[in-house]
Amino acid sequence: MIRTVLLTALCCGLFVMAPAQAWQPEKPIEIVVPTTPGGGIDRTARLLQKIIQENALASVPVTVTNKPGGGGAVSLVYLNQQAGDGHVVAINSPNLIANDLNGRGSVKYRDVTPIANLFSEYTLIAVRADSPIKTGSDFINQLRKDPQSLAVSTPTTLGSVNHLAFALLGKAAGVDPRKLKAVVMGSGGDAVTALLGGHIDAHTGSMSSVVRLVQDGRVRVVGIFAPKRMSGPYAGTPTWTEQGYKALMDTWRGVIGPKGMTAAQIAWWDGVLAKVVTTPTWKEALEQNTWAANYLNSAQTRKQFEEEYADYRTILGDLGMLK
Amino acid sequence: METFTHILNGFVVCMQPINLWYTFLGVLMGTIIGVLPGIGPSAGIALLIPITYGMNPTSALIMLCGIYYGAKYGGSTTAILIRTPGEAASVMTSIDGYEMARKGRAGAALAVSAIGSFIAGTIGVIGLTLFAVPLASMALKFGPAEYFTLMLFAMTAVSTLTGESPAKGVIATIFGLIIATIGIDLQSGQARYTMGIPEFQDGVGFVVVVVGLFAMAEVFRGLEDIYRGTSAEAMKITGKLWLTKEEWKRSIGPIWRGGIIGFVIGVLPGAGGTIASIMSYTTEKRLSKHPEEFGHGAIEGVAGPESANNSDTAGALVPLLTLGVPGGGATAVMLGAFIMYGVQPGPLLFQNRPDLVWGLINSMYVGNIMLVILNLPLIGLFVRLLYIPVGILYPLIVAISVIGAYAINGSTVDLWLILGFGVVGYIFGKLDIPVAPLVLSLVLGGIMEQSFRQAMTISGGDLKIFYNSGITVSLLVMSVISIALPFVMPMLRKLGSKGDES
Repeated sequence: MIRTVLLTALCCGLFVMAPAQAWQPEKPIEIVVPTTPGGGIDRTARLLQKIIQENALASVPVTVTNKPGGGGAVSLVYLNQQAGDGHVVAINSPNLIANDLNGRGSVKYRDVTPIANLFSEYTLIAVRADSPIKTGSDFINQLRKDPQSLAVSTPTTLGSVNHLAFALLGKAAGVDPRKLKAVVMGSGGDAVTALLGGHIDAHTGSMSSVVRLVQDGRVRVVGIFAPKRMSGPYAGTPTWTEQGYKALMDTWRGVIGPKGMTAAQIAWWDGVLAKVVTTPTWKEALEQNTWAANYLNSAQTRKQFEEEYADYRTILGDLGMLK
Repeated sequence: METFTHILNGFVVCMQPINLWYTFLGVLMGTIIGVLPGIGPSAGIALLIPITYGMNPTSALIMLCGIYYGAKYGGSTTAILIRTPGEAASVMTSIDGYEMARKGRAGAALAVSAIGSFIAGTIGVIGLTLFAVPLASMALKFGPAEYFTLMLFAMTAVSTLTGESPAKGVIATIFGLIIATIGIDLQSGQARYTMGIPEFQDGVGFVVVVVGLFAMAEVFRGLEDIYRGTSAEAMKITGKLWLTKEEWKRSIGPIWRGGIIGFVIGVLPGAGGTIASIMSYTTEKRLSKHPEEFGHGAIEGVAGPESANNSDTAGALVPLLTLGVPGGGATAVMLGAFIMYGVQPGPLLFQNRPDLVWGLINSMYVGNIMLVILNLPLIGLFVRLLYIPVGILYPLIVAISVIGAYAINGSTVDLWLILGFGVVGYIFGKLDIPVAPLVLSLVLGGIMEQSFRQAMTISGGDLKIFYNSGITVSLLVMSVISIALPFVMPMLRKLGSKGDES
């Protein structure tokens, strides 16, 4: 009896391993985080670690390493020191593309292996509940009348996703992005505080940065940079596309590997991550954090990187920030 | 009345044995994290969040919060004993606390830190209980222009920190401002003074600078003493491990004032414990009848800042709990934890989850009592560190500093920086240049520049924004008075004495 079970197990094992010399990790998997512990990217990595381990999606342990510095540049150098190693992946964000265009750091986005996009945090524009700006068209009309009349926060630096989103919207509305008054704030929290205090007129940020204030009725969102209507607390908010302005922007969280990964290694990760995003723990986390489900596999992610690079390049050119 | 019932209910929640246990666990871990330089409350909380998966949210938040304020207690220990601030906000303590230790009053310095932390911590929690909701709206009045003038006012404190030579103070201040400009400028997205080193893009870490300037420089001075054979005076504890009546009398004022300063600064987002302790230090130096003792072991210079950085934690919870807006690194991590448990901080939190919010706030009263009980008996143990022969002590300081700084970013660049700033601190010591103005301008420089430029963007380049609100005008006036006082006071005194003669 035992022998039969063993034999069956062995056969099954062989069977699973047979097609195309499938790759399996042989040592612990390492997830690299380009920031210090505690931020959104770090939480994504630790969530991934938890789900892979809980559901035994990998036969080896999973560790998380924080390699902060240089707006992500340090982590990319670290990642590529392990070229061709399928055990090391990193969580990344649009910084990967933006830093490439800004000439920061030595590792280009094409130097790493795209593995997946996990979810998107779409960008939005919010005003205070008592603002005279009631709708997206109020906002656009005010900008058309005088681009300098609205001070709009764009955390966390010039050329950030939030800044690009604001510029993109201006352009779509026929306003010179260079004339817009973009106030760079150190963090989303600072920007929201300044918005509530009436020091700025509007805030460009992620869906999660204002979700509580939207629910409390202290802040109104006039437009979301998403391709389709969002659900939950934002179900009633029109997208910019719906309002007639072609402006899409999001802070995505993706997984990348070092350069030189083999097709078999990428296929293994495609298999694991496709399972991760169907787990209840994952779905629950998405809902809690107002993260929008947007899983893309390795091929789709590669395509997204290329499109995004072209888009960012155009808008940075319009802003006169291209190097 | 309803609120009162909620507060009482909160005590029932926090007195449950399971919550008492988690409070204890939190403050204990916080103390340990505080003692270790480098690992601050933000990283400490972030790393311990995974342990709390599956716990009841109230218990988990009580524990994480315990780590946050517990760390402020621990930070003073290494600051006093080996001149290495265990936590950034303890930086001012490493000036006079260490001098007290050298004079054999390490026990008194540690005792006053623990007691000051307890009293001020409790003041902070009372403030949080009474004023949380009204204060949140006050914090909102601070926009970029208000922040710039607040930082300007804080910078005027430099004049009191300069020691004998104002010129040397200016050198240190400018040096601090130069370091503060390193990194990517947020307003333009340009890298400044990064010299091609990617790690410099995020700026030079405050802890790294402080550990180098204080701890490493101390080791270099010690080495020089050994080399010259002048290190005879081993630090023996002569006095009691408790405060003398005189010391107690001198500490009580700074503790109260520090408690209030810390709480108010804590409520303002972005300011934080380090600025609170610097503000308290300069306030005490100004008010003191013997300002010349500051920097040479004045107990007020320990009592005030240590109190301020403890009540700051309760203040920082005001915008977090009432607005859902974190004011700093540690509270940002806490916000992440709240969201993870499905609890949404904001004005509705007090209505929807009174059991959780008041259980959490009230657990801080209990936690502070636990901390003072935990810390006072340990003083005798800590003080024994000073009996360690220098041949062991100095390598120990180097090891603690290096591990602490490396733990933040895991970056070897930071280790070179510690060494470099150690040399700078040593040279400054030789030239009699004070390091306190450097620390102050390093902390304030970045915020000051960014808020100035944010205000300029908002106003379209019109300086009027700086005298448009009551807050900015009063802060500007206070700044002018603060600068003028050292010049005007002697003149007034002279006039006064002349008047007496005639």
